Amino acid sequence: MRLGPVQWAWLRQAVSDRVDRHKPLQYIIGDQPFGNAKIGIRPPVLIPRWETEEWVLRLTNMIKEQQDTCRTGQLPAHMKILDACTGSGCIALGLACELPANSACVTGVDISPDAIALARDNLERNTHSLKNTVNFHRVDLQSPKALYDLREMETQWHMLVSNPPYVTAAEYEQLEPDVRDWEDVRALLARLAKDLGLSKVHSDGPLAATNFPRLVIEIGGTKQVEPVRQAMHDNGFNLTEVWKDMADTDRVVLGYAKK
Amino acid sequence: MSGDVSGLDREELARLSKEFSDTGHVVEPYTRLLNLYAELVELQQMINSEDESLRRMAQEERKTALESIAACEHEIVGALLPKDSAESAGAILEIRSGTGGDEASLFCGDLLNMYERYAQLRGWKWNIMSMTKDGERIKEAVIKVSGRGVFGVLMFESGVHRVQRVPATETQGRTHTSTATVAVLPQATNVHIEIKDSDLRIDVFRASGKGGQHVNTTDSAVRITHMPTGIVVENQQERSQLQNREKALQILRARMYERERQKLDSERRASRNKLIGSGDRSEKCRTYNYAQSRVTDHRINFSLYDIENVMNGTTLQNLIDQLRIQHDLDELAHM
Repeated sequence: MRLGPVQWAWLRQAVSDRVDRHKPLQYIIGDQPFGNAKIGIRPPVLIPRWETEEWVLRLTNMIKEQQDTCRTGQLPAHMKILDACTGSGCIALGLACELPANSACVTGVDISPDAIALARDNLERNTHSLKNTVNFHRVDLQSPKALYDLREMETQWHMLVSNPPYVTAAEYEQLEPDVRDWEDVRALLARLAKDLGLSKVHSDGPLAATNFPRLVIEIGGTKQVEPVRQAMHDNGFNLTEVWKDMADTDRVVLGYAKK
Repeated sequence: MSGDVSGLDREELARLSKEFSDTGHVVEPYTRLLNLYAELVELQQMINSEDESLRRMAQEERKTALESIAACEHEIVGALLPKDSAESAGAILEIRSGTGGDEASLFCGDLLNMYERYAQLRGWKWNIMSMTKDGERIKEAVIKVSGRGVFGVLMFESGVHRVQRVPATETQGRTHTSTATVAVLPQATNVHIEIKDSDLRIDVFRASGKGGQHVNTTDSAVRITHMPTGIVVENQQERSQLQNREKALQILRARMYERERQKLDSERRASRNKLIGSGDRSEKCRTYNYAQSRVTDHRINFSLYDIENVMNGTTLQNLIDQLRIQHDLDELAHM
């Protein structure tokens, strides 16, 4: 294969970006597979991690199984799912690709306009493989108006999924440059326990099934299990579960509402 | 099925209908064969006739009739044999370079091209599961070949393939002998093999540390160990770890399926002395001799002096046909 001058220039730039500036490979290539979705990425929006891909697929399998076994009425025919801190939109799009056709409506929100623009591009890019509706909105979940905004979009959410920033301030200083120098600090650095205020977004739904997770939150390891679990308990999710990832690290806390 | 069926109950009727339809693929060529024989008798009479031009015409037709009869008989033999259920499945084709260093891996690449081209000609789907290569040199390749009856055709390819030629890497014009091993496994369907999650150890490379948002992993390699059997499968073909895991699981499933199948096979055929090996890698099955433009299959002692067209996939079919005939005859002899 012969490279033309333009390709050579691109390659030289790519190598220098990678070697001298620690640019993540995914930003250079420009996309990353996520389940059956292909997610375009550009700096500084968080690059989808395999851990996230793993639990999203596990979650969709779990929902599919329950939709098969549950009696009608126990699960909503059309689940309203909120993806908070959606970033590139990978979780929302991944869910919409994997879940049975027309069984869900996923809304992704993020504080960053860059992220929302990218997520919408990705929505466009994956239209052919999407089986459920997806939309993206810019919302600052820290603002007092957030709750109001979300209620405006949907009167009731059945499930909240999120990969919120969970790197602590001390850890942030120690991050490799390909993460720290390139990815949005707002996607990484946890802002106190406040982010857990997310759980208040949930409103009591009519779901009878207790074996159905209502909150699905990615975490950064074992140390974060207890605080997240506690916050869930405090908000009425009295049953919790922890999923490990393939590398055997505690990765997701799920909250169930048991009456 | 003529006659009175009113006395049969529904189940009996269903069973008989199935039996009836199962015999269809034998009956149909058999009827054709009878017709051909009748035709042959008529032609024979014409050949005995006085008319010169009629006689010549009849002789021509007799030739084609005999060819059709031969084809028909092969078909019947094939139809009479019990079907190995795996034969109708797709296949996992594994090619590895054997002894002979660089030349062996070049030959490995040649074999890969041959099979790919052949698969194209047959209209099969060719899907590379994993490949270790350096330019034209292929160390190892695993390919999923999908289509109808793929395994039944490719199953004879298992074994050690030997090449004799002056390698491109040779400067003094000496002929080298190198080998590549080919293993063809039936592509398992999920039904036959059950793999318990608890029996698997899945290693993702460089998974130490915190993971998640803390690091940006670009290494997506996955290694799966099936602990009860000790089978280890690795895959790093895809950019997504999840996709690599799926592919690795597929390969693992195929290997376990083959293991089970071979176990059954050897139990069932323990007493048989089969001419065609069961893909046992210790035996050399075919030689590709470039100087003589010859491809010899040692199992059936059959040579084709047309190496170029074998290597580009166009006449590989001839070899496979011969192997199939021998295999079928062998099976029949042991029925």
